[in-house]
Amino acid sequence: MKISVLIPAHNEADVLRECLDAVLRQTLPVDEIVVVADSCTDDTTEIAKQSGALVVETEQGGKAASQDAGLPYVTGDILVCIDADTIIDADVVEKFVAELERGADATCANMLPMPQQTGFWVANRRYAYALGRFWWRWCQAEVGRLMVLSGCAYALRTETVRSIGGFPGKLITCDMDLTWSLYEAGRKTTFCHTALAYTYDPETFTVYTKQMRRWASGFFQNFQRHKLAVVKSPAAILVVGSLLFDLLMMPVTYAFAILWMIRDPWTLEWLAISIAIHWVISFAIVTRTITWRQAIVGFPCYWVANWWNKAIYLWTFTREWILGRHYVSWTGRQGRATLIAPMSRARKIGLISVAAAAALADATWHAAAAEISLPDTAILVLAIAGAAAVALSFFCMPRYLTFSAFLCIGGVGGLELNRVPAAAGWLLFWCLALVALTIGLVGAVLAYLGDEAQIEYQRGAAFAGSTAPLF
Amino acid sequence: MYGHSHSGIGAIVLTLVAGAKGGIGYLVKVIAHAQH
Repeated sequence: MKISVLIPAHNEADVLRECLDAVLRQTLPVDEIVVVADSCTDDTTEIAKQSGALVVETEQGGKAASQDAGLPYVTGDILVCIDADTIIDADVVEKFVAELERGADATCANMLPMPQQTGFWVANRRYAYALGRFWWRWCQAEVGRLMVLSGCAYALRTETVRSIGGFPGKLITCDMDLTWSLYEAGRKTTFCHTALAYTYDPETFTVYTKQMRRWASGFFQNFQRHKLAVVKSPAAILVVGSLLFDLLMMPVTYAFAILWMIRDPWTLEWLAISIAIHWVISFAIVTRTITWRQAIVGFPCYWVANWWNKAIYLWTFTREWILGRHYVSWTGRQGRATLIAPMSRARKIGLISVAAAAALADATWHAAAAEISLPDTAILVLAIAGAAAVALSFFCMPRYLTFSAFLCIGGVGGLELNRVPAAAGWLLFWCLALVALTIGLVGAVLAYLGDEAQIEYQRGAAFAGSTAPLF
Repeated sequence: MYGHSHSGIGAIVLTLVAGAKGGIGYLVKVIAHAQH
């Protein structure tokens, strides 16, 4: 059985040598290494050649496209795919091959941050990966539906990837797209938890947030693309559905918890107890992979970062599914252009119409209940409907404008709910409505200009995403 | 949440199902081994 290693690389000269050294140190020697040098302007090609790799030079602008460019040069039966910034343990290929020989079509390693990496975000990630190894990913594997084959180190039969038409690369997270495409094709994927791969994880808030935005976008894009296959599979419903359910229920759950806490401060005790239980259970699990010190440092980082992750996922859910603004090109360590597709005109009109209609119905109902005079009712209805409509137009605006609109709408809504008939209340109401409408008008102009600017940016970018619709 | 961690009621359900499936699988293996 011939083993090939495929490594896509874009300006990876700083890290590629240690990646290739790890491949060459394997207990089960590999037969060929194919490095796809994608638009490289550094020494990536020379370093790969020095290690005896076959180098395919291309200008693809993406990981999956690069892998696809390298696929015709692969002659092995088993294909091990590794990221250029990843180091695999010496026995990883041997464990991958054993897993595939047991009947799997694809398998993947467990990731960990590079041992020398430190800091809040790395400590969080180290804890999360260690916890996933013997809990969450174990659960996924046990029910028969891995969420994702870790993109930094996985293996599959070459025939398997060729049978699905190569590496799918249209979505922002190609590794998840590959995993879900394999399930759709009836292929079996497994998690090889004994195989460990070390990768460079984000060390700063900015880079971490960018990565999480991409991962979150990839999750929602994949769900959208593979939704039929997901609903047909009980295992997929359990794994993917539980994650989605927990995400959407989170604001409700925590709003309920906060209200309960306000009513009864002793609820804080329960919160502390639940955190302690979580800590004890997860600590017992993660210390099978990382040191006690790393676990003690990692838990608070993991706990805090989890909140940030959920906020990113909730916002991404809104952007990807409700606003239809897809993340189509991403920035990696090499500074590729980030692109989020603008909202389509039809969707803008649709959303604004729905919001305006809802606000209209709501305002009419409240006005009727409060027995306000007919002219006042008409003005109230128009003001609230207009404010709600323009606020929604801010979804394609810079965030500070969105927040401003929400504040205005919140103010209007609050006054409406309280039904303040006093002169001061009405004055405040009109001021807020006026501010909302003014921001809305400015926002509408900026929205138009903003969309155009994004398209121009895409045209001028070195690594532009496709302008074709994703779905 | 990209697949490395879950949290919430759904996560508990996933853990229980996976645990039950793993536990039953383990018992089946043990029984099969004992019969041989």
